[in-house]
Amino acid sequence: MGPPGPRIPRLRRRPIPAGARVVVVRGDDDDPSSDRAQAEAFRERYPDWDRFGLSAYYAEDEDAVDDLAADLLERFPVLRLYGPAALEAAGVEVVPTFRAPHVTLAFRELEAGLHALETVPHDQRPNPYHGEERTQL
Amino acid sequence: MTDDLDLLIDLNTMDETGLPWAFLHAAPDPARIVPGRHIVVGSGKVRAVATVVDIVDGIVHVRPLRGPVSDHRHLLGGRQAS
Repeated sequence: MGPPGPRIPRLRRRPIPAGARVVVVRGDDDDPSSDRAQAEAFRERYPDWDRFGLSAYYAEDEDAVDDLAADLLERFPVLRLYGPAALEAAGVEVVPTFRAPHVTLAFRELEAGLHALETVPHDQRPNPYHGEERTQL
Repeated sequence: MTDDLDLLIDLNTMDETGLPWAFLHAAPDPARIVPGRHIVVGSGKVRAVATVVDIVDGIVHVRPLRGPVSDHRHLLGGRQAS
């Protein structure tokens, strides 16, 4: 058994689709400290990629957003929707990683990246598939 | 507020397995994190019951169950949820 390989996330070769209706969706747990903690955990796990990272999912249209809201992100009370071009312009890479439609929102400077995610114009909407009861035991 | 959590985990996450992941050291009581056990996971205001799938090199993978925690309370083995 050889030495372990570089600790980087699995990058998909196929880019995310282009198009005006494509959005990147991330579940919001209503705790600003969560993004920071997860971005740091990602970097700790994949140090050879040298980026902080947050998980999100691309959607090609409103139907795909609805599918994410009902399935992978149904536990989140709020969804944040970003335009990929706006994120890239703000210095946040949108990288296809692991299994489609997963993407990693990647940035090299923690404070700048978190600030960009807060300030880049985005849509924040309630998740219609999330019940209030799910927010607590 | 994380007092009620067995494992702090961002349920947006996915890795090579296709499952959400967290470091075992993110668990307040790592002894509770056992493959096959049902635990309460989440972050911020998000909570879910999940099955611990495996623990590899300090990484925990979980499979969240659909629906609210109350639907699965019977799986928590008498755990007193706050």
